[in-house]
Amino acid sequence: MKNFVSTMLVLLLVFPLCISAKVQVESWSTENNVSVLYAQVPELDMVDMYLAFDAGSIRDGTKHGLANLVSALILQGASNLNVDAFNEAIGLTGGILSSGSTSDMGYIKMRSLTEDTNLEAVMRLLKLALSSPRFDDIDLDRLVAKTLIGLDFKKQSPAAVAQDELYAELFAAHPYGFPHEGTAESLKSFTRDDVSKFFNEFYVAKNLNISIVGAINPRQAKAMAEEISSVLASGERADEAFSPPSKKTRGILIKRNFPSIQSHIRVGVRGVERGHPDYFPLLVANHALGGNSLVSVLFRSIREERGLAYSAYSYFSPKLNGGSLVAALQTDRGNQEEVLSVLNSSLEKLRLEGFSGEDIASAKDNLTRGFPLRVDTNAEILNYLAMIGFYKLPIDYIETFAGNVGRVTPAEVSKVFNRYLSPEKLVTVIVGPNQDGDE
Amino acid sequence: MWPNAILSIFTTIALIALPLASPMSQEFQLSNGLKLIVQEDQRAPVAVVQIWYKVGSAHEHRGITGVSHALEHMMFKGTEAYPDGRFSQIVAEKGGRENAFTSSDYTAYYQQWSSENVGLSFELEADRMNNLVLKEEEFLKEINVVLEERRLRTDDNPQGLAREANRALVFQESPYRHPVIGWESDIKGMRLDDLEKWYQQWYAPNNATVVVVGDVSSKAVHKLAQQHFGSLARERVPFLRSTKERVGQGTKRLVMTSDKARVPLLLMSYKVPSLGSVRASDEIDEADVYALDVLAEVLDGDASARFAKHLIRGKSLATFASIGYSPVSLLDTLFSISAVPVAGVTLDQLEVAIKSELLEIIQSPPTQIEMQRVKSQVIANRVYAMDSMENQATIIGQLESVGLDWRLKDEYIENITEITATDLVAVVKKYIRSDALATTQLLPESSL
Repeated sequence: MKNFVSTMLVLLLVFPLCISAKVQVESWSTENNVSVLYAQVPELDMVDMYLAFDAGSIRDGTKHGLANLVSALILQGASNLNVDAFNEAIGLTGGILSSGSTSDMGYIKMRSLTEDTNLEAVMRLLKLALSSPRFDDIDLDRLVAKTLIGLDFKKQSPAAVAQDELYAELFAAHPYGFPHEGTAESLKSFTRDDVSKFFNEFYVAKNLNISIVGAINPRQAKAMAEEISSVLASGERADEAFSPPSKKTRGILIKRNFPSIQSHIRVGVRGVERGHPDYFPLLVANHALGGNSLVSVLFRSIREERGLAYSAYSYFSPKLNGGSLVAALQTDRGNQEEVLSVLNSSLEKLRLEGFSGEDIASAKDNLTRGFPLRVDTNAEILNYLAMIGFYKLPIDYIETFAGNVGRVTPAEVSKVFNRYLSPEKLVTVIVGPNQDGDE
Repeated sequence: MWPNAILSIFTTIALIALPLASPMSQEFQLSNGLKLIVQEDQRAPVAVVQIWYKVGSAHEHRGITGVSHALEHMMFKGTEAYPDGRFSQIVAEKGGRENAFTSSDYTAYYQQWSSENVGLSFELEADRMNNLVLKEEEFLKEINVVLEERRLRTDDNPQGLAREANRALVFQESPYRHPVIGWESDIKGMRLDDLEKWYQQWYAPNNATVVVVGDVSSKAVHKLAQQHFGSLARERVPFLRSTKERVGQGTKRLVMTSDKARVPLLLMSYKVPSLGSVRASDEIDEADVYALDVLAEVLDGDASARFAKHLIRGKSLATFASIGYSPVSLLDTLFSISAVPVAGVTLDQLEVAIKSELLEIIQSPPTQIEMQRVKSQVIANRVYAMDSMENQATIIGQLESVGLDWRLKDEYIENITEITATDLVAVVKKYIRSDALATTQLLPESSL
């Protein structure tokens, strides 16, 4: 009778949906209310799990880089196992535990064979890391030192410098406006207390979404999700994400000198979050502009027709608080003015005349027909489930994707293009040699 | 190029019983010499189609270095049947992804899309294998693109420059001393005629391997291949003469300073055999290659390996330390170490520590636990590697393109199982020698 009841419960809570003809997604909540997405893929004897916490650098406050540091420290030993012993134990299982953070999310990923002994051992270590991370000073110091060297690496990359300058201008005082890794100043100030406090506040059940993909049955998946969520404190849900400061952006040009041969150019605007009514029209606009690799407007006008750059592309990066749309390219200093003029006149033409019918059709076709390629590995299915869970997208996001893109009209694309990429909103950053001249 | 872990696979001391069904793979050869390998994978309704030509920078000589790569760029410029970017438009409209890559040993092109498009891939690839239209005007623009690519990857990238210099330092006779993208002066001096000749010489069905992995039937794919590639004529293709790299000339050393660098970098490259080079020689035991691969894992397999445990954590000398070894190469290759010191540690100090870590294998050979860890990871990696069809296709294509049998991807396990801690000691003594080593130190100018 008891079995019967729990089966009923599972049936009631599970909503099967299709990723493709071959993969179905189920969702439910654990006993302490953590939402879980799961897809059974029986062919390979492996399982992947993705724990997505609302613990990205958006939660840094003024401690820039803390989220990133905490995410890295979670797997540096646990309980009575120091970092050496912990890593050795993982190594022997053949499993992989990794952790990290983005601007919105702190995450831990697990990959293991499904064979019982191995999977149990990896799960045990993962639970240990979540329930009693050590945050030893020696590990903290080492990772801070490593991150500081990482900042120096960025300083020798004109592309990285351009990116940071752009985000600083687009997002100003919002956490998105600061380097995800932190600054030399902030990193040096962090203590074990900062780390523990951040962990205890944000790595809690109420901030967690779990995704599971692999050759395990629903009952096993349910057990895994319960095991993980039950070792976490329930905690408090992090505040609803705050919006970027309503700083009125203006058309602005930022130039930085850099000892390189090429000039790296970024032209960016603020975008929208997933789920915003303009999301799909902007997705199509970006794809036609610079996302549709070898046939996009930027690739053709900058590289194909003029041979002015190796890579010329754009990306649309929706985040909890809006995100951005950015065009990026790099060219010899001698071509800088020509590239800028081609780029700006392309954007101007698109504002006035819109994209050609072929470009819109090609972008939409590529997005919709290419979707199966985006979910053709367990790792990619996992990432999609995590995105849906974390960003609270409708559970039928994958199923309805093609329809949502298909319904976008050229008029809608023109409308969002003109609204979001109007000249007064464009931030242009140039990082390269000899930028002192006319401005 | 090829992460060691993908190839390093054990079975016997299985901590895990491996009932993994070997995937359905089949090989076909057309009468014109074109080889086709098909691996069925029904997990998703897609397929990856790759065509590999046995030509890369190893086949080039000074004066035309970079010609294989430049030709790869021009292969997207169209034919009479599919002119002016029509190829890429078709791939985009049908939701496909496409690209190409060139290495020292091969040039490869691929599309990934719905498995119903495999025949279309074949039609497009067969067409550009024979009917490429090379126009002067397009070439002049594309050479600029290649120069911009070189600036991006190498000339503006201190690490890239150091790696390029280190390869040219370590190899004396081997064409591996040349960068795949070519030396700047060769790219600037390149003419359309060089590409034309290269295309005529190397692009032939009997110099190509087609690999398909996906939701397909081998039989049907074979039929499609005959239909589209079958009529192409076999051609005379030159062959690459094997070179024997010499060791014993003494330690080579280069200290570079750069005003662009902010972080110091240490590169230590030892000349070692590859699967391709041992097969061309009677003197070296193939087991050396497998032992070197296991050695790389013991030193740098994961966060519990010796480099991480000793150099990064225990002694706190390095912030980064890794090993690159690609056994799937045509010629003698490199066992190369890259490392970045922590602040306050000099490159000389780090170099001494790395050398002693390598020699420590002789003093304290890997323990049972260390060998077991490597073995359980390679067993697991064998399963994980199956997750990506693209990855599967690439493994097959690389093996074939350096003259090895693609079935080696599974046999490798058997071969590597034999390796013991004693074998690791032996290869360290044999190959990790200062007269097979070239060291490059990259120093930020501001640090002088």
